[in-house]
Amino acid sequence: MNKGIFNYVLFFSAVAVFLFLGLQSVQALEVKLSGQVNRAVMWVDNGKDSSVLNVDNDNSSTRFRFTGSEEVSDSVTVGVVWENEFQSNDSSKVDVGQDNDGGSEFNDRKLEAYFVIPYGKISIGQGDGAANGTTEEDLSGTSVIMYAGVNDTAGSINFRDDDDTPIATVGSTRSNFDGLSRNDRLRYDTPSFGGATLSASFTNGDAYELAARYSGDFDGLGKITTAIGFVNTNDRSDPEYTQIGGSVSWLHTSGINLTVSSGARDIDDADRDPVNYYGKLGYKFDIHAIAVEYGMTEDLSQEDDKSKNYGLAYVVKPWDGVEFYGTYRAYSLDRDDTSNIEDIRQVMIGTRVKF
Amino acid sequence: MAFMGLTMKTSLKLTCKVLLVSVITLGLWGCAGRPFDPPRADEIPKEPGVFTKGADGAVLYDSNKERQPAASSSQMPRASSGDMQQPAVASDYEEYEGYRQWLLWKKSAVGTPEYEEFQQWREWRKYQEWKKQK
Repeated sequence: MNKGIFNYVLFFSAVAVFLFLGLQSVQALEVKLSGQVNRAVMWVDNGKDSSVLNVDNDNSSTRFRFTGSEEVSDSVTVGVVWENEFQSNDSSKVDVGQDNDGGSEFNDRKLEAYFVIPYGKISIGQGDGAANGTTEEDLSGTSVIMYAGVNDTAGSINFRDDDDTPIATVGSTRSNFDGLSRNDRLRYDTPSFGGATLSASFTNGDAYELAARYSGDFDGLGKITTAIGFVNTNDRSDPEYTQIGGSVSWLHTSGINLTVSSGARDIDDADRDPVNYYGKLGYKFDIHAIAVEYGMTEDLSQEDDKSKNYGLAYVVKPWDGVEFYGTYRAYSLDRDDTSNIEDIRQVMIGTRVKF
Repeated sequence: MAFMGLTMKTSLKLTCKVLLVSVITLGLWGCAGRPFDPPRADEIPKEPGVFTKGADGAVLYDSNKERQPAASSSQMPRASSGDMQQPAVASDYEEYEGYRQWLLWKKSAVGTPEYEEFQQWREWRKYQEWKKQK
């Protein structure tokens, strides 16, 4: 797609919305506060040493959020989202040997305004890029502690060799090739056509994202959700890359569920083409959910790298807004020019409390 | 051949995946399941919290409630007789609404067995008070 035309389409769409709003009377306004605390204890062993760490679970970090929406007319709703996370000892930034509380980080996640009109939804500000989450569809009920984004709980843990020399972090060798996360963007979502939506967003550095999503509940078959996303970073990344990824998650009425995710990146002026595969099989019953996973990223840090993991997770929701969880995960790295890279083993138990 | 910036090598690798997901998506769409909003792994769950009943958290402000006619107690006529025991109410407005309903009932109920029973109950209560005073 021509980048210039794409930008113009988004710009004029936004202008059209503002014109469409006109001078309407206020009908209904709601302002809401919500948030969550998600804390865990992690035991991690890199093959040479181990640590026990108190962390903030970065799969779904501790945060609070204000949302407000107002029906300015029968056909137009204007809303705002303001969401900040407040993490002490982010689980994606810890490594074996850490002996303090790490950093406390107050980060903006979403600062956006949106307009819902009969022709879709237009969002402006910091928020999800169109492709964000497209490789992370997950109906297993265990994503609070185990999902396709393995770096959220292990990203900074170093693989080490026999001599205790750091080789690479898990995060440098693994990716689920999701979208550009949250960014300052202009985004458009079509209305839902029987559960299917198309999305596009344009962000700084001339980067853009495209996505298609579908979610449907079938009586005998259960629920199915699927998404596919495309990213072109243009100048936003050095080196530039294009990326495509998607995922499908199916929750059968029996509680058995299956999740598959895959993605690939084409990096400018690089011989390697990283690719990721991820699968999860689970069972959900009553207040319980269990699942096993397997994932592998190839060629991300170096050509012929194979960074893999498998894991097991359990989540229980005894009360509204309260989850307890536990997981065991093991990570390994195969690299051509390096032998005897130790596996990493990890256990996490914790709780997420929503308020 | 290039597809949206992807090289031939990558596009070949990805074409099958793209087609597979697209076919699944279109196939499911064609089956017309009921749309639902799937959960996001990294987001706050869309469900009641420990302190809140709504899926979106605590309502700090709701203009619909704000616009309801909240008459003050000084503006409201009081139920002159303490004969009818009203259930506890949440606000002056609701209490006033209850009072109006009671007046309507009283007007329409004259002569009915319920009204007669109410009158007998009033007499019985007066009798109880008189007994206490003696």
